Amino acid sequence: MNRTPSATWSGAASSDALRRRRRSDAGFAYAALTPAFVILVGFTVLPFIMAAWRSIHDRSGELTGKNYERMLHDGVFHTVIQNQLVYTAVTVPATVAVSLALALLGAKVVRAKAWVRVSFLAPAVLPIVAAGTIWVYFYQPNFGVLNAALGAVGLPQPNWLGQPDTALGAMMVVAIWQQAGLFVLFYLAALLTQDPQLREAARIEGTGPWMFFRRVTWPLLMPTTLFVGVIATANSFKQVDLVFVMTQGGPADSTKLMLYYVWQTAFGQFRQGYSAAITVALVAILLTIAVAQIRLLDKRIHYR
Amino acid sequence: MSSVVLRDVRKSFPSRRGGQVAVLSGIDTDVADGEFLAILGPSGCGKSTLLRIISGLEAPTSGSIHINGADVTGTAPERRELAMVFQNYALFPHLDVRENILFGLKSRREPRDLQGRRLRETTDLLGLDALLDRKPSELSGGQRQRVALGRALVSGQRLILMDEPLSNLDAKLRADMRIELKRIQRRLGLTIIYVTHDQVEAMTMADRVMMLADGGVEQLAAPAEIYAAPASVTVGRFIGSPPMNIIAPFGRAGGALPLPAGVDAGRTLLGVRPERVSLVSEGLPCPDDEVQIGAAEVVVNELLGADRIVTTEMADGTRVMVRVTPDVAVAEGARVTLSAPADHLHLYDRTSRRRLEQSPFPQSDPGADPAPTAHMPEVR
Repeated sequence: MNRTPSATWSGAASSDALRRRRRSDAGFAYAALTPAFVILVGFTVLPFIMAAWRSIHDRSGELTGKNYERMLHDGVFHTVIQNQLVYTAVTVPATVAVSLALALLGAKVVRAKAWVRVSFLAPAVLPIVAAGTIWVYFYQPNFGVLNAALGAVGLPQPNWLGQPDTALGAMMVVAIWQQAGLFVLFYLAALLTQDPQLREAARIEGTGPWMFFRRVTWPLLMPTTLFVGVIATANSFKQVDLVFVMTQGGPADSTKLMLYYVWQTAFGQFRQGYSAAITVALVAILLTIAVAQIRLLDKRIHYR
Repeated sequence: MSSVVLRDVRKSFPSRRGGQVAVLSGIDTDVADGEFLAILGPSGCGKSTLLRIISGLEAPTSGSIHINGADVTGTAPERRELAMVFQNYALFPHLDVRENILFGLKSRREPRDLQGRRLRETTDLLGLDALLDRKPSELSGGQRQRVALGRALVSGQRLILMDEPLSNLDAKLRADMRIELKRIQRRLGLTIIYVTHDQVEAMTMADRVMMLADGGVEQLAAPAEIYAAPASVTVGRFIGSPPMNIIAPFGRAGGALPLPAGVDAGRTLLGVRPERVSLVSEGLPCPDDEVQIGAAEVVVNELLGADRIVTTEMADGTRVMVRVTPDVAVAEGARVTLSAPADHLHLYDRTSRRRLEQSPFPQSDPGADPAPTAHMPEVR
């Protein structure tokens, strides 16, 4: 070892070591990303590109706008879009409101905490198909629980799922009940991490419960609300299980949602090009809403 | 006017085994308008509970609370005419400094011009002008502390409760804030009830100190008095650094202390402050005007800069700490004799651990200056 001091202290060896270290860090990062990347591309991105490709080609492979043109004149599609927008516009805010209200109650509960939380979560762990089936019995016009109760107090007993006016509403109630249970947990977790001294400090300053909720609790819950809102929106566009179990889209297409219509056109009517075009439209609408939601709310969110 | 009166305030919580655990056992006190009262005690002594009871956030099990002469025992906190500063500041993380300070005024829907005027006064007083648009996460600990204080001051309340407000600050900042707080309190004539476990905060800021231990008041007195004449062994050990030495005068080794007639040595403990103890090498005579405490061996000798703390051990294992000037050279292992002026020896009952009224030792020099700072420990 006859290194000169200048060679020892020049730092060449250490910068080599640092470079090796960086390279191995990057290698690990790519390795960790690969499985998720393969699944995302293989099961989401590629099928979507294929669907988009198919939607603008006819059977002979010629480029065509026929499928999109058809959308403009398809009355059922217009009903479906309308149903879908109503469904999303109602279930998303209602889910936020219901889960937040339950969480506020749940955070106040002192006794039997575990029971309360389990009962909140119960609907969410139930298979959607099972939940839908149970509610079909609730809504049953002749011997259903709901109409029995209405009858007992002398109110009219409508056929909830059998008439176009009430079918979508009845289904939305089930959807909200079903998914709110899960979101309660997120709200509950966020509420329980809030410093209880904030409430005490506000109380001494003469802040009432409603004012405190509006000025402190609600703004501090914004990150959770954004999360719940985006997931609930995505859920509303993915909703197909309840339609299958409860109504099959009827009566008179009043409960037909987009994904159900996609399925119907593809596998019921074998119009795969048209089905692909609706899928593209669905993804476009969903992306637009999600981006708008995040853009709009992000400015007003306080992240810790 | 802002006075507080507590009468026989008791608080107990249900324990897990079904019984009740008493946290406060009968607190009585009168806090005068413009007074700074420190509630001092070790953690778990009930001092924060007492403050929360005064604020109304917690209800007492029995007893009554009066603020400005009115019984407020059952009154909600927002109607008690007080403000509170919390230990972790309880700032609203999503609101900037301005909104944090104005939170209470807005909640009470005070007129806008009043809000603006109060905000200006408060920020001037606390030097917060430059920080008004910042969020709490962009502030240092000391600045957050100021905002919390500002939120209490802006309310215009004359009674402010503080729950260890300086405990999250570093030592230097704490010293600055102590001075600042005292200045503001004097200037605005505020009544402050201040909970702390830090004896320095209590001693430096308070007009009176209430020492709590195990849910009861050990002593309620001015800082000078509580230091010079601790009412119990607990107070003597808690206040003062190093704490008061407690010696059993006729311990296993049999001390040489000449107790006056009428005092049963077997039932008595002797307390003496470290700075009152004199050290002389064994065999040399003690100062004429001092009472000999006993023989001891030097165990540790620490230089703290301005002082030197010498820890000695008596024959029965009792450790006695002595504060001397730094230039005193005492070797570890040296044999010494300890003594102290008679009027600085405190006697405590061995079972109740309460002070026996006035030192029964014969006063060798009745004209001695009673001011504690005037005495320098004598060392030969």
